Amino acid sequence: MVTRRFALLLALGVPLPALLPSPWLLTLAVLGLASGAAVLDVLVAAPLTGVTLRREGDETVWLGDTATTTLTVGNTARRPMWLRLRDRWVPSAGADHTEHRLNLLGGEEQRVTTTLTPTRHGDRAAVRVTLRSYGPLGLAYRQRSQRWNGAVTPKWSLRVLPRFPSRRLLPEKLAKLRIFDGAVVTRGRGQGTEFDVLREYVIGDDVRSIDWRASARTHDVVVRTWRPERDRRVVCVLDTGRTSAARIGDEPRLDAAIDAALLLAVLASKADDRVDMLAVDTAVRAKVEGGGHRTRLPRLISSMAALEPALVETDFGLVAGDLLRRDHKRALVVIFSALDAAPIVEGLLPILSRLTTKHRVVLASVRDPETARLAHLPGTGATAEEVHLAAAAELALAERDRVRALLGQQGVIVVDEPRETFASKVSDVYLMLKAAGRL
Amino acid sequence: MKNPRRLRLVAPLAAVLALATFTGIVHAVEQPDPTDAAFLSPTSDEGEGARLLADGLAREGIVVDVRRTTPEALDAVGSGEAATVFVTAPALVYRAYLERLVTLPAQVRVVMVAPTESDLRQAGLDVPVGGPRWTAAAPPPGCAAGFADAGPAAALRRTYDAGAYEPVVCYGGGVAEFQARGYAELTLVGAADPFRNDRADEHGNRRLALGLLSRTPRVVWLDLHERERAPRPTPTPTRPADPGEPEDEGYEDWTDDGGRGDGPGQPTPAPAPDGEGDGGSQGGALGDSALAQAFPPAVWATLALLVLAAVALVLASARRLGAPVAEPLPVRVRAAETVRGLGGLYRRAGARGTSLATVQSAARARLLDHFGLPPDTPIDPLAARVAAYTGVPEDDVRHLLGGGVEDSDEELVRAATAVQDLVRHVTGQQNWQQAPDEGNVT
Repeated sequence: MVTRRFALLLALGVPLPALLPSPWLLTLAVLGLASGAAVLDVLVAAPLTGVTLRREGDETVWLGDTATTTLTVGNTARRPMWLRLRDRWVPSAGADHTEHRLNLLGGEEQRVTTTLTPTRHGDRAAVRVTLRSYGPLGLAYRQRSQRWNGAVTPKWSLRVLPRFPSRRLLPEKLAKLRIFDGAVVTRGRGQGTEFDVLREYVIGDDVRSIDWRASARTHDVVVRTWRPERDRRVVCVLDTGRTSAARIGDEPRLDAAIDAALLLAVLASKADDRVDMLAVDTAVRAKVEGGGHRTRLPRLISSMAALEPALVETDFGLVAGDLLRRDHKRALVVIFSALDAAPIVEGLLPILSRLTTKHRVVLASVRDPETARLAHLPGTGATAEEVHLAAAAELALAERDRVRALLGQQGVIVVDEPRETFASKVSDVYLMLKAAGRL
Repeated sequence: MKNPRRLRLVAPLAAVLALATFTGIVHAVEQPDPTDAAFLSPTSDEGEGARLLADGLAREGIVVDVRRTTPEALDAVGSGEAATVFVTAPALVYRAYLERLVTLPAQVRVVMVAPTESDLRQAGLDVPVGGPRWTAAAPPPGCAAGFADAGPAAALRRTYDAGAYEPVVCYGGGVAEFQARGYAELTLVGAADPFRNDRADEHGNRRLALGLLSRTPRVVWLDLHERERAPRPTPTPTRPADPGEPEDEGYEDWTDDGGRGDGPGQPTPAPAPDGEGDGGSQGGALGDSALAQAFPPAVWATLALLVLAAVALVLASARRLGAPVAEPLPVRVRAAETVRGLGGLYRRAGARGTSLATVQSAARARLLDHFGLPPDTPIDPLAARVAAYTGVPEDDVRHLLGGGVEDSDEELVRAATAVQDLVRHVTGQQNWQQAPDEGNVT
């Protein structure tokens, strides 16, 4: 295929027929010369079959951060190669500097770097590296089909981990955890129900914690310390059905749920509890259970990264089937969903009594401030349309209250919070239950 | 161009190329144009005119007979007496007339100014033409012809190799004189310079021109400044026109009432469309069309090259370095989508009563909550509490909290706003979002 330089060559020949005799002969001569040079160029251009591609670089990145991948391009042919390539990724990978020009001598290798700033979490794939080998004159080039280029492209996928803005809350929550863990001296004894250890009394300890029997034995004043229960089970159930697709602010409800679930998971891991994860809509989309403490958290984050909302009604029967089938001790089941009547009343309520007898259930829902805003009419200048919208919003709010009351009757703890405080409140519920030994 | 080394290499070449192109364009513009009315005109005093030559001929007693078309010129020499036909622009002569000019009787001389090889081929002559040179040269005559007394003259721009006709060759091939197949004596002059006013005094130009044209007592000066058109044939249907036949067939029925040598002024046969072209625009259907003849071949050739360059540019731009990649968009639903949908349904159905009742019901619930009354409290005790708190008459409060269906949108808006204002006034809340019962953990 010819380049623009070939067209320029023809354009440079345009004045010749007007200036010299035999215009048609000259036209043919210009065309023939240019075409001959182009054919020669293609023949001299290095073959694309001599190109080798190898990729290395980041495999995971947090959403909002920038990753880099390096593509090593080699020329196994003897001829020098004037190569132009484009490293094509899916659009949401946010690839920058994807086009590169390389002059490769025979047997030489060079590296090109592509920077990626993904716009969505999940797996972002490198689709195709398209290669184009130019002749030395730059008049023509060799390029093969998309399928061929796709076949020689090294397989690579960047896992984009979901945004985790609640990370900043982690120190505060961990400090709370340490307080009732007994690791920090407070006015009270270490909260919790499990006996931890006997230690020497220091000023500031609660005198009620003194173990007189042990003090008599050791001839020194010793106190009992307590710690919360450990190795409890926490199950995060993420609803990826239609309600998770609704936008709360700039992001879907699912992203807020993932953020809160991540904070809860990190916190529970630090508190030596086991965290499992289940994502469901009409099928189980992701499931993380078992494995060691160290590997579980990365697995959990990685599984959550691939979750996407789907426009389907969630089948909570799958959750019940999974949680009730498991032959394990009582767990804290945190269901991240929405307080919408239809999925909760028809989907969750029928199975809730069985769930609550076996587990402690928390339903966490991000509140949509838009509904409350619509229910509020301005003092002046309202329109009939706004009144109808306000009526619809009032219905939705009343319905939400009804659902919340129904869930409360079933012994479910409901967290209904705006986006800003959602993750924090969910963690607080966990900490509260842990402190009270109700996990 | 970012690379300074490449810039240093390319800049001088580009400057030279630009200079050469500019020079070429200026030279092309400065060339005399035969279609200009002054070009070798016997009445023009301009530089490219030939008034001086015409006057010189008149002084020598030569009759100058100016004709505007070739048929007129042919007609003027048709009587058989000795004459010289001076063809100033052979390129503008219709090609069938060129052949007739060459085949005039032997007592007629024909002087052609700078004919091209294509012109001569159309005249039925096989004379290879060299050049053209950048400018006309003035070599010595180098021959013994009568007009060679003029000495060096600027007659050499094109050269004529008429070896097949035993010519008299002068001025290094710039002037060739021969008699083809016993017809008229033909003189080919390789440049227009000897005949022009502005060049008449240079070298022996004036003497050469006079020498060439003063050999007969009469000169028929073909003063042609536009491309001659084909003679218009006169349709003489030989059979009734068949409406079912295509119109093109009609050409076969057209006959020419004139033929070769039948006399000037009469239409000649329409030339056959094939076999006479020079391999370019002159051949084929395009070559015969008026549009093709409206411009010189150089224009068409330039145009063709431009089109080819444009096609090459399109081809070069068309091939992408990898097609764009498609990706399914994530599912996103607008906030409060169902609320907006339900509100729209209310509005479309005109359900003012339902909307107002819903707003009132929500207001009653908030007021009951505020006063700590049971949720199933009837409206009357509530209205009494609100009336006592606000000082508004109880009936008005009752109407506000449980009024009937409104008839117009304005009344609906007024009633709904009044209810919410009442709740805000009683509870002191300005916004539902700040309600204490919102967003707690139960």
